Amino acid sequence: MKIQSRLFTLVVAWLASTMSCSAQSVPAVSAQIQPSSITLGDAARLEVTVSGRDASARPELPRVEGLHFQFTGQSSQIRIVNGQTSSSTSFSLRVTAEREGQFTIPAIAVRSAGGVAKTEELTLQVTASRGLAPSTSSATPRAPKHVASQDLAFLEVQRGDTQGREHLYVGEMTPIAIRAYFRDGVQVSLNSRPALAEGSFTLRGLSQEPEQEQTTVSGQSYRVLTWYGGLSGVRGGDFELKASLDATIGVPQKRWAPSGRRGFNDPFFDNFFDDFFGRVEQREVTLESLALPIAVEALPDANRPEHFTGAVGQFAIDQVSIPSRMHTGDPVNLQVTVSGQGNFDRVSLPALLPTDGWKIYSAKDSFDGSDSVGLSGVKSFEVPAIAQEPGSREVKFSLPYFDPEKRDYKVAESKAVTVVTEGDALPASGVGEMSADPEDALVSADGLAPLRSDLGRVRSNSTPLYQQVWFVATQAGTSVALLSMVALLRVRHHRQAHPEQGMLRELNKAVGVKLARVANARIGQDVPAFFITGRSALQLKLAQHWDGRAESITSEEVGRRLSPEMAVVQFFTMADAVEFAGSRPDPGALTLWQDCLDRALTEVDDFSTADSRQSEASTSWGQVALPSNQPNH
Amino acid sequence: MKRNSLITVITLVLLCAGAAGLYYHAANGSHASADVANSFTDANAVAVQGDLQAAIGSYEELIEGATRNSAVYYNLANAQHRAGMLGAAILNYERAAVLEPQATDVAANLASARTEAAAIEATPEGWPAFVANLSINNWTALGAAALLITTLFVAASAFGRLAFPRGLRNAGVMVAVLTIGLSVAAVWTLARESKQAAIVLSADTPLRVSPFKESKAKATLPAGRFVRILPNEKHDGYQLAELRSGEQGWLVPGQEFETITHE
Repeated sequence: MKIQSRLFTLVVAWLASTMSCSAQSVPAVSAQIQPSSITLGDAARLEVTVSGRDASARPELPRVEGLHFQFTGQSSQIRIVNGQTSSSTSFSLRVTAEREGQFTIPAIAVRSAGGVAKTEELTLQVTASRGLAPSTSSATPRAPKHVASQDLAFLEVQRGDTQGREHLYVGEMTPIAIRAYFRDGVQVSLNSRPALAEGSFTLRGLSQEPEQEQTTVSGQSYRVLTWYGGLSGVRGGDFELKASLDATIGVPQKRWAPSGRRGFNDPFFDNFFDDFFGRVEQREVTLESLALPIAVEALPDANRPEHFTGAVGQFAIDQVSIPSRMHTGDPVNLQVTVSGQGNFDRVSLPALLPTDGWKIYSAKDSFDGSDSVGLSGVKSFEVPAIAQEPGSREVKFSLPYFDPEKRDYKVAESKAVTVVTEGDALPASGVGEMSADPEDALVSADGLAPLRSDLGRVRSNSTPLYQQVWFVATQAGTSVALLSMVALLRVRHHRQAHPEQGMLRELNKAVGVKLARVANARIGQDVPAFFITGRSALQLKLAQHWDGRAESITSEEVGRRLSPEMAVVQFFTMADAVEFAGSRPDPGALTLWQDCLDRALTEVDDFSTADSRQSEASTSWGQVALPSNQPNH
Repeated sequence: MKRNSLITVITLVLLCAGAAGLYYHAANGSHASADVANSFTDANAVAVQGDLQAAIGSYEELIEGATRNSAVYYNLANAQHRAGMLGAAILNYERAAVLEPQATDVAANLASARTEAAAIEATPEGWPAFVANLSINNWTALGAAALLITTLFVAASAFGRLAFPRGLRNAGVMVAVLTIGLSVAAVWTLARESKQAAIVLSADTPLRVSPFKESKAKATLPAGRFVRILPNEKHDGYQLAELRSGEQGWLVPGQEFETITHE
């Protein structure tokens, strides 16, 4: 009795625990914000963790004056400890502030099927000071001064040497290095390449992958990532160059350890367990360099050459290819190569002198840089041209450029080539305001390609073709037709490859027709038709098996090849008796004969199965001949 | 080749040429009506005389009248460029380039306008540069023509009993599948780009770190700068945008920008 009572108690307890688990309960929720103090412009990460497997649980975004919350993602975790499974879902929010101050984030409500749960209140401190980008002198890249030892990461920009010159000229390209310093032990994930925050400069050829090295700054070891690029100013003035870089840094947090535990106060021990069990705090940061003042001077107007297009640097014309004999109206290809150092993106096709008497088309160019930034190298041009005036003259290519070191304009010229042009003079083409041919991009007086006079084709519908209903319907119809035809071709191909399957289908179809007639004859009690048509169906099946013509299979052959007890033999015998001896069995017995016919057909099918087991390939279906116009009596 | 096969092949070639012509017509439109052509000529004459504002108005009237044509956008941009409206000029050069990507005059003037506006952009490379060789409609037409030609040849095989050598047939199938796949990928890329690509029209537009008034400006964008407008990323009138470099920031309410795709 005592045992029964204990057993009953155990069962009741198990049932109660099972029911309590299966019922929907309010999930436990928690929230934490990291870091709890940010600078204005940076972001903190708010994580709301909901325990349990309730997929419907969702936190409600809090409303705090001056803070902005943006949902960034969610993750789920399942833990199994000592056979106990627990799961939780974490929701991440990005928090940004619009002003400084201390903000209190109220309890966040999490709604689920089991009810509403709330987190505890959180506090976020927003300061104006820059916690991660310390002041640093951009002039000393390898060992920046004024770097506090607690700085985790900072960015700096270093300008290339301009031979003592303080200012740049508009368009002049100068190398710069952008260096990001990350203190050893800080985990780094780059979210972007460095970018300039000032629209008055362009940055070209920035290296895709930074160079990496170790350095020591103020006694602290740093990992340094360096990108190189070419900087050029696009307008004159005094500017402050700043670079920024988005990164996520992971800062290992010290593990809490009770001070009284022996052995755990050992520095080695602490480091060991900090590494393995310490928490890493992730921070999304935007590193900003200190402003680097750069003066950009406009190019002087004085002595500016006529064909100057903005090339700044030192250039030379190395090679030219100009045919020595031409014919007016015939296009020829001219080639010219410019080498040197400077802003090759502004080096355009050198002018062909004398300029009169030529029609010059758009040039193709290619640049082969000899450094990663593209500051020096060789630029090649290939341009179609048509001579319009006959005669003999000396021609050469000329490239005006501004030399920032000499602070004056220079002209690079090729060697002169004597060109003899035959033919008649062509009328001068319109180097005016209008051009009918878009390819004929002749430059007008203000340096722009001219207006077009030819309207060309006009569309009245701005909807892209792929969104127009008629087009989609046409494509859908074409696709369906194509797929149908491909399917048809495959079926046809299969039939050609396996003709026996087609023969078998036709045979079964013919047998099916015969058996339908047999059934009709039985219902109509037409005894001769019943037997003759039934025998005919058997002949077809046997011919399929015995490799012969259906009409030539007789009772004699059936009796010779099969046992007399078999239903096939019995049916053939009776059919012969009905057809040739005038025998007329009782129409009421046709049902029994139908059973006999069914058995006979089964027997023949069994032959086929046994036969196909012996030799699958031995059946020559192609020789089976179907009876034609078999008379039914 | 048997006579019947020859007739089938000639018929197929004619059908293919007809289909290609039909799709080219659908993709690029038809010749302008006399009214539109006259308005265009008048606007050009006004521009040549130097009355740029009047010319700009005339070109804009043509566009408002649903004329989608690269020459109109190009000439409008050209007039705006000469009138010093660099942001609007860059926008309309971009629109002309979308309709006619290979036009050298558009590319040259666009580069010139960007330089003047201090809105120089990195040249696209790789797949985006390859895709930009044709307009979205021409990629669509190319894919559709490949599909139709494939269907016609399969129909000739199915019903015309036209037998192709095995190697030729396999090569044809491969070319057709590649062309259709390439076109679909290109259209997808360009469609995605066209929904988001925009040009800043206001001068010195700040790109803020966060969508608040006191937030720091990451960069100051000149008029004419390309931005990618990220859909569904708005907050109190601020719009999240991305530069070609991948850098993101918030455009301030009231600052004008316009998508390159002209509805």
